[in-house]
Amino acid sequence: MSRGVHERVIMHVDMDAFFASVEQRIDPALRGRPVVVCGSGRRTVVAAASYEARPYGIRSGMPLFEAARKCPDLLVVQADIPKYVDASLRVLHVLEGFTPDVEVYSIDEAFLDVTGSLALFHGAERIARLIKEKVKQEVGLTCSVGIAPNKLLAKLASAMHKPDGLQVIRPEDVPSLLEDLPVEEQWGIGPRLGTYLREMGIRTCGQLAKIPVGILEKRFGIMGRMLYRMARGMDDAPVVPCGTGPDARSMGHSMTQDQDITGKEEIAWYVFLLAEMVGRRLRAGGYAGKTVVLTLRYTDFQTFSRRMTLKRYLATGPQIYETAMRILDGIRLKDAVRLVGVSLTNLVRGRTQIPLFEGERKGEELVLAMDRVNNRYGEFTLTWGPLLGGRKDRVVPPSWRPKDGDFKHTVP
Amino acid sequence: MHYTTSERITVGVVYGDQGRMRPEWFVWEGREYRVASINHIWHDTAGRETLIFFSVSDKIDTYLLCYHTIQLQWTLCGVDMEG
Repeated sequence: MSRGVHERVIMHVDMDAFFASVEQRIDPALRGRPVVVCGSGRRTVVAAASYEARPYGIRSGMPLFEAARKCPDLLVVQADIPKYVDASLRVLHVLEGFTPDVEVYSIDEAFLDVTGSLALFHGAERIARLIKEKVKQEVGLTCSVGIAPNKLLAKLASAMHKPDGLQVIRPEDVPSLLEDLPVEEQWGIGPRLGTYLREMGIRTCGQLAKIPVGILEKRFGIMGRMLYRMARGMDDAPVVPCGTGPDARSMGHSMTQDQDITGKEEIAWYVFLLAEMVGRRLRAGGYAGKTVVLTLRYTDFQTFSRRMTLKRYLATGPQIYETAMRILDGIRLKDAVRLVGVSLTNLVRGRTQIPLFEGERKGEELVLAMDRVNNRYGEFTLTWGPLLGGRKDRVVPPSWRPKDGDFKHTVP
Repeated sequence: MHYTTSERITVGVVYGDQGRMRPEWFVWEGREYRVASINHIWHDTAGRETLIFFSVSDKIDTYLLCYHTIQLQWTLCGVDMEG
């Protein structure tokens, strides 16, 4: 790939059907067959579909019942995140062998700035081939790689020949490539924005590029300038290597229930469980937050959030629970609930503040002692009494259970 | 047929290239199984203990073996049998 003096060479590495491929790797009986990976509940959605499942129209985010209807022979595997995290870390290790500038975009995607490594490895395409070879050899999985002058175009390139693809977009190819590209296929333009643009008669990036920036800004505000740049394949965003990015802005967990829940008492149990999970994550990362957000979804999928900001920072399950319950108490439920979510925003890191009152101090000491036990013996080894009772099917999510006999795929 | 278990087993291991461990055989319910292929290896934690999982196959079935790095024990966690 020839390049100008200031031109960057960015790579986007995208694992192919990642979760499903890991499961197919682990269990040879799944190979070559339509497989989906999904959550533990009965009303879960597809988290990943194997390439064999995709011709049936099965896609990520689709409710499992719909996927099963489209493909009666579908094999369903319950997601087991630690397996995927392990594979992801091994892929990251491979990538870091080629450049220190690796940005982990998600569990199965990464951006690399290989500008400084080109001479060492004799070109971008050779780096991409070596990455694909090493990922296959070390982790047993395939990935697709896109090479381009920026992240926006590299992401577009990696999606062009999946699975196991390698695509280069050269600067001189950009205008012709974008001319007929549907706007929704450009990274950052979602279905809602795509619909908006279509209503304006804009279907392709080529058409979007012809709209003066002033008109776009008038219509879309700050997003207008971004659209203007996207339509031309322009993107200056740097690759942000691991550990150098900004601190987390929020942390949360949500759960879709197997059955709709109606009573606030039952919702409260889930709020407590989620608050405890959020608290554990906050403390593990050294965070505390002062805005609690409670999210509920009714059976008709209407979803809403309510938030409450306190003067003090919170980092324990009971504190978060107490605030979330104050929010819940102020809500008049109109329908049964199918999803409950708890999150914290307004986060700070490394806050150390010794509580003034003895009761609070003892409470924090108790939580820290519980953390030490759970760090040693596994999540929920020691937990709060109210979380132990209740319905038999009200269980701790699989990824939080202590590991024992941990081979949990199910074939219906 | 899928079968989930958690049984202590005896495993014969070879420490091969770069010190990597490779299960060669295991004994389950008095019968010895030869490992024909290792499908995938991954790590997880249970508290402070690291668990190393090996998905292995003999020529017919697939087994999930787990090595407990603090207890220095092996367990058979699951079996996927043909048919």
